[in-house]
Amino acid sequence: MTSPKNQLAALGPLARQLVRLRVWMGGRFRIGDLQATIFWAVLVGLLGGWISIGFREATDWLHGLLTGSPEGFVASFAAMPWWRRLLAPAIGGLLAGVTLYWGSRIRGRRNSTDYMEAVAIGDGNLPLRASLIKSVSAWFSGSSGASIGREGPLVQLAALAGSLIGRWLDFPLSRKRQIVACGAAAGIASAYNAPVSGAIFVVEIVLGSLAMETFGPLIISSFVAVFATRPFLGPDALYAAPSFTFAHNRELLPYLGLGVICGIGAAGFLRFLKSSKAVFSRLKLPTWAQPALGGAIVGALAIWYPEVAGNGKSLVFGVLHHPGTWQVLAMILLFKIVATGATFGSGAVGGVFTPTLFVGSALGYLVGTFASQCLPSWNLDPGAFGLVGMGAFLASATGAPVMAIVMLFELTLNDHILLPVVLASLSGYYVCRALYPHSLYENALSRKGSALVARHLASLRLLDLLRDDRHLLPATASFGAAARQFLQSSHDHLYVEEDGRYLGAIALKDISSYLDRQELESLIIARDLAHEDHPALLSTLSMAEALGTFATSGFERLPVMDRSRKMLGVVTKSDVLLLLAGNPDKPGQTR
Amino acid sequence: MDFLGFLHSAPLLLDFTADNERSALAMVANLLRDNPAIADHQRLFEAIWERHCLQPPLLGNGIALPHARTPVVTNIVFALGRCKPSISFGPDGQAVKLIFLYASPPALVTQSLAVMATLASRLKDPAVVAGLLAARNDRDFKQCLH
Repeated sequence: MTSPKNQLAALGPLARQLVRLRVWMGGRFRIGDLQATIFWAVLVGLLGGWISIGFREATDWLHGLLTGSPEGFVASFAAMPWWRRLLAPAIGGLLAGVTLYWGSRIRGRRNSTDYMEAVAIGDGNLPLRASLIKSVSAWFSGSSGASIGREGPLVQLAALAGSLIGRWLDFPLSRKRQIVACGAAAGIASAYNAPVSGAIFVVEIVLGSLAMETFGPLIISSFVAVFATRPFLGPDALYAAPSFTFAHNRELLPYLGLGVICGIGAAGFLRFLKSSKAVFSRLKLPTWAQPALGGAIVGALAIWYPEVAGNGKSLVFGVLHHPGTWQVLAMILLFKIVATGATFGSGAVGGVFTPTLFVGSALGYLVGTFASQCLPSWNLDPGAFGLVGMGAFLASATGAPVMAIVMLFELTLNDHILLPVVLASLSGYYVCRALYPHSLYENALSRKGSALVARHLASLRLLDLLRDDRHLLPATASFGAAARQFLQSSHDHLYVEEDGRYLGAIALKDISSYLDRQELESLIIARDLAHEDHPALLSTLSMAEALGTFATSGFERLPVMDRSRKMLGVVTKSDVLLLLAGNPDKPGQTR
Repeated sequence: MDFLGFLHSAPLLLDFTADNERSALAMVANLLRDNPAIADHQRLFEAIWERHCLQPPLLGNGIALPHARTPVVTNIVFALGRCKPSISFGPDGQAVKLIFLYASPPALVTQSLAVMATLASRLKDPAVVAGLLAARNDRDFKQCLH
């Protein structure tokens, strides 16, 4: 808002030139919401990558401290005496449990720490202290050999970085959710050196829909995160696999069978994880004791099979390169499933993504071994089945076949296997959904209760997306004042109010040709320039109605007013689209 | 934008007298009473007067350009006037001799601005203003604006 004195002041030659430059720049290098979103997506991607590096380093350090070996989990556990195999995960679990217990006592905020909830149904706010406590707990579990992946805390911390940025800069709801989603994508991408999968993970699992408005920033964050981690982790695929060939179409038949088996197996795996949780909760142990017990179970299993320790990354690599006998692999698979169930059920914080990859690859290898013995003339390669099984099981368990297919390619960089992977992943996905309707991550949301989801959806209003507009002009503002206001604004329209009521909008293109006409200063006021038919949104509109107005008007940004025409702020089309894209329900049902 | 076309067809009141700025504007606006592009002459005048009261559009050199965007007109309309003696306009009491009154429909923002800019540019020329003040009839007056 300009003072009356300024309103009447003439537009000087310098200001005139600046407005001209602004018009020229606006026509060629439009800096709008999209560019701002890309900037934040890049920043969050960078932070996600650096967080990933930091967390890996911290995990390796603590792992070395607890096991006395800098080697990977399997090698370090194999080198330890039996009592230390038992103790290391138990102590790690105890530390993780105490951390959670301590955190639950000091936690003040009631906001959920679940990034999926924050993106899909929440307000995009992740509590700092609770998220850090959760990550520290995951650090203890993951470093000590618990059968759990480190992607959980990586995603949590990267999403937290996005949430903090959104909160500090007071982003509107949908933009905050978007930036949290970017963090989650960066976390997954940097954890698996898989940029496209990171973005698709969020789109398919968290958002549940694909729109370029959402996908673009996600993929930018993912790529930036991967670029940030590459100097530390190297450019190679995480699970570089031997080159498998797909020689004959008839091979698709056993791969189809593998998909069906993976679907059945994944349904059983998901039920087992859920049951493990139920068993632990029936024990009614204190919060701090549950992860300790889970760790002790993993430690006990590791006495016989040290391969069960850790997230299972080296096991996946082993299946693809030197799987050993099928009998040993079957035993490791069995033990690993139990270890994962014990860890997951005990409430240890982390992810089951990598253990899921191992279960799939081992199951695939075993099916491949059986198929190659049944059909010796087809020259089937059990290793290729391991690879395809990994994708099919992942697709089935996560309920995200597209992500699984893309991730398998990014993890292995083996394109010969794509056709069987697509077939097996889709068949596995459908079989699994038929047997068990909830995916690995849907469980997380459904545990929060569908009532909570419904409550959040019912509370979504246009006002939640409102942005402050500091470029509101009084109707009596002079021509020069309007021009100067355009200099301070990055938008092509200024809104005009009269007697506290929204009047209309001034278009930059209307006045750009007359900036050198000093005589207009005393003749024209903002009211003379305002398009009174410029569309505005009533604050009581539903999201769907607002989107309809955006669609018919063609504007990217519209003012919002209440019933008395008092202007409340502005809403952008991107914000509405982002909200609807991240909304698991239909637009019309958001109110 | 056929600016000259608008001016040529505009009615003109030469050397009229008025007590104050409101009656001066009313007299010039009254020239448009029979214009078919105006649905409600009274509302047209009220719109012009309301806008004038917000901030009188005075160019200086004794020239006023009262104007308004109002739905009661279907196209841009002009009315011209020259008063003798001059009349005090605005809070500063500027002496006004020439009145260029116009109105446009609300949607014609750019056209209205173009008209204002063109007219103001022409009236910046002291020779044009002198010619307008010296013109003896309608034809001479409008000739000066060419």
